[in-house]
Amino acid sequence: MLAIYRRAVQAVTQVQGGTGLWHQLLDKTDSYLETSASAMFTFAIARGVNRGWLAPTYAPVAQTGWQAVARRVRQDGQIEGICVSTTAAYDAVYYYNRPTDLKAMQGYGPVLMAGAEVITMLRNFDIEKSVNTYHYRARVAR
Amino acid sequence: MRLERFGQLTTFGMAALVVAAVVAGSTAQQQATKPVAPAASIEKTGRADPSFAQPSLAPGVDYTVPAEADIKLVLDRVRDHFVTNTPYRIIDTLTVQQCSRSTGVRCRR
Repeated sequence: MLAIYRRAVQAVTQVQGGTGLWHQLLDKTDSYLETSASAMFTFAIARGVNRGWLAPTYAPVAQTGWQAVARRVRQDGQIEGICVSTTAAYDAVYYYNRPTDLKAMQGYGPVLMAGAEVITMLRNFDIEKSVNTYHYRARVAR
Repeated sequence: MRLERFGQLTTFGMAALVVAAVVAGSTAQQQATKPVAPAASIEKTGRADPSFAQPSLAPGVDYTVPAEADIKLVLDRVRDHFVTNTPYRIIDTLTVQQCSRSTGVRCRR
């Protein structure tokens, strides 16, 4: 299970977009940036770092993922960019054209889970910024 | 055809798989978390960081460490949205009838 999980995270990390979000179709950069899956990836990576299943080098992936997801949460608490429920189709065009909806509730839980897990990550690690990027180091119990 | 169909799994589907793996793994390994003081405040830099010699970040990209308080504010906004927008009913568990202003008194036991 862990091996599959690590391979999936490694692959997902490689296709994170420049905003921190992931695309509706992972390897199609002209597909829109989707919030709920981004939140799930963020949660999964932060959880893995927190539990020691992933190297701390993955922490900035979750960090940037969260920062991007958080921007999708409007002031009124509604979340933008969540794809509506989707079936399995045979063509990419279907997925390109699935709409997003503020009432797509399946995306709200992942956002809450991602935020909570990133909070745990911030508590578990000391973060050093050097050469313009972030380095997470596990805190030593004092 | 099955392979092609599988190949078209959306990002959401992939994410759901990863989350399922994490949740399944979580049951096997429970974390003993000790409350630790939050990280020392890290300077919020992002686009305004003068030390950024690389091409600047695109508009809307926040390359900073989030503060725990900021994350909580976001989560609170979502929670408040649910609290304000979720219709609720008070049900009498014995009669399974909805309490109303007129039946409210009778619902008290």
